[in-house]
Amino acid sequence: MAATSRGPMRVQVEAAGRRRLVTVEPIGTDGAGDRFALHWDDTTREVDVSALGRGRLSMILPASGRASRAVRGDEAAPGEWAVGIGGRRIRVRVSDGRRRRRAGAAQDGGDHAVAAPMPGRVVRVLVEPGDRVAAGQGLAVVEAMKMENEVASPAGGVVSDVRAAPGDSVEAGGVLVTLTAEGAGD
Amino acid sequence: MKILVANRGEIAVRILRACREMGVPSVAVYSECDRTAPHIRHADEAVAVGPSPAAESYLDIGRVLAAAAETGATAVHPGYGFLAENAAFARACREAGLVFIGPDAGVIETMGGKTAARRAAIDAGVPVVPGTEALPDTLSEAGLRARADEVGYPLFIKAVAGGGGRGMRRVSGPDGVPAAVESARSEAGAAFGESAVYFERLVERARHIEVQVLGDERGTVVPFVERECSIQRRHQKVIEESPSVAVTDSIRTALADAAAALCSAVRYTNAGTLEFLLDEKGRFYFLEMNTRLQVEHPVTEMVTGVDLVQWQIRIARGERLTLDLRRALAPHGHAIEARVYAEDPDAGFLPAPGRITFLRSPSGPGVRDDSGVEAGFTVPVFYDSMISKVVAWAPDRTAAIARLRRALGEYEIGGITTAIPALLWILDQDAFAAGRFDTAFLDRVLEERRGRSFSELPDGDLDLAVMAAALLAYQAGPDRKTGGESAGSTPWRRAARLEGLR
Repeated sequence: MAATSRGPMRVQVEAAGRRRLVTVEPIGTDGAGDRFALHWDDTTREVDVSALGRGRLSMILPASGRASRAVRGDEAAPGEWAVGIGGRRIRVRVSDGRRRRRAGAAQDGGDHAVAAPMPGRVVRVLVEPGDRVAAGQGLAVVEAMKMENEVASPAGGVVSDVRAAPGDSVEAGGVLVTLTAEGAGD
Repeated sequence: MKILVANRGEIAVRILRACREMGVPSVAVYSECDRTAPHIRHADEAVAVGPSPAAESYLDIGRVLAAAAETGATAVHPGYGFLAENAAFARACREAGLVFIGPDAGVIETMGGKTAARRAAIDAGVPVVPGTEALPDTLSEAGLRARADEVGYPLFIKAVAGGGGRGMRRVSGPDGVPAAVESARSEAGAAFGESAVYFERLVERARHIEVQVLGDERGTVVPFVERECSIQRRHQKVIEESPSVAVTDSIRTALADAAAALCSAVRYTNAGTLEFLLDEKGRFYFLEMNTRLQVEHPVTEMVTGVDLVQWQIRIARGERLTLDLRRALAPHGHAIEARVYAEDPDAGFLPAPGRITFLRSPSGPGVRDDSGVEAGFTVPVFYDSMISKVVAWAPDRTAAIARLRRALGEYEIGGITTAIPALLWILDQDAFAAGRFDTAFLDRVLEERRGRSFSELPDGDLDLAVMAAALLAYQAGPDRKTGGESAGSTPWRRAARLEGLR
């Protein structure tokens, strides 16, 4: 396959509310780092890249007077990157065809799982199966780092399952409640 | 002297560093989830004190004292939080023959209670927010209105046994007084088992100004140049600085005199901080006293050159406080501190504990990073979310802010989310730069920008982030499952493979 020969690769990059189809084209290597041309829309940027380890890249941009920056990326979930530059960071979603399909499959079924946003301890569960909830309504309270945090419903719907009980420890992403979206059931 | 530090995180590191510098043997304690915490490597010895929940470890007086006995420690430094303002702990230490590095248990009791501290301040001639004593139940509606008129509006009805805003009502004129007293009493009764309430004037557009003090066993008290801590999110301090732009030389002298008078009156020893409200006319009112070391003590250290923690230890050893009073009150330059919380500012500042995968701390001229974490450490869910304090010093405030901004920009923390983007945003606010703010400022401007993400980059950096994400995806490759591709044998590919092995 073309991909294994490390030819150009096309990825879809979503950042700051905009989707770009980026072609990553390797154009050379000089022992210290690799040079790439990146193309999206009608933009082409050349960049000299060295991996510093742990998701950290040193990028030198010849087109900007050889400006050099360190950029770090953490992949929180497949394709979900947090990219940090100079104390600020943004969330970037990167996908190729394969990942898009996988994401699509997860959306099947009418149930929406509401997960704990951080690890902690369940203090209260505010709903029961069968309850109709509005978007923004509190579903459960999770305590972490001495603070109680209410986990709100992302959408209106009916509670199909409650999977957490007071006193439970939950991990980040641990499902607390599942909802059937309004109109999806019946 | 051999000191057991009954704390964790950055403050334990701070105290243990002082021990190392002074050649004093030290003992760290740790809970289960802190087994790999950096603070234990700053100590000579480390003792486990129990499971991760604080109540079963850092707050368990018996276990902490047992750790002291086991290691032959002769003194205990409580840091801040946990047992620091617990009079029973101070007393238990002394009963166990240990030096408690802090004030006397009796003083902790007096100054720790709201109304008792207020009474002590009044007795010492220190201004307090105008208000009343507890209101007698027998007072008629007309009587209540008359008392309220004397205090002035707007005012707060507060529960004597209060805390956490319960039993508290804001009243803007005489008409609302009786009904509000009624409901505050019933809420206070339900919450605290005591329904007594009192009136206190609401100081509008007030700044939070505090005065650090040191006192020795011989009655010498040294007050320091003020700290300004008005930048708070929901009563949680976020940015602190010294000196304050709102404090003139004459206010500074008056604050220092008030602090010294109150501390002398209660025979205060060791380190403490008196908190005041400062109104727009330059009048100040005593609020409460913290009978311990404060989180924000480094800004004072940086503008005075005084090591407060070393002095705490020296005072506890019975040394005489020989500091130059003028030096303590004359700030050299300007220092500003930002608290780095493991919180997601885009999710309503939700705590964001987790494993730190990468850490690069700021450094360079005038920068101090007091941190309690490192790469490989998992920030626990059990304790406060503050992981570090970045402090910048410069000859003036503008330069100090620029330096803090530079330092925060250098901070790279991977694996967890921090509120650094929100800190940078605050530092960029015109009102902040101009020094125009009060304690409600941050909550107000955060409310105004509600819904807008802090995850924003300038256009050029946005392009850079897009490129970096695409390159990182390329590095991971569609072949990430199979690995070991022959074609990618550049240094970059090798680095990627090595990382995969970690």
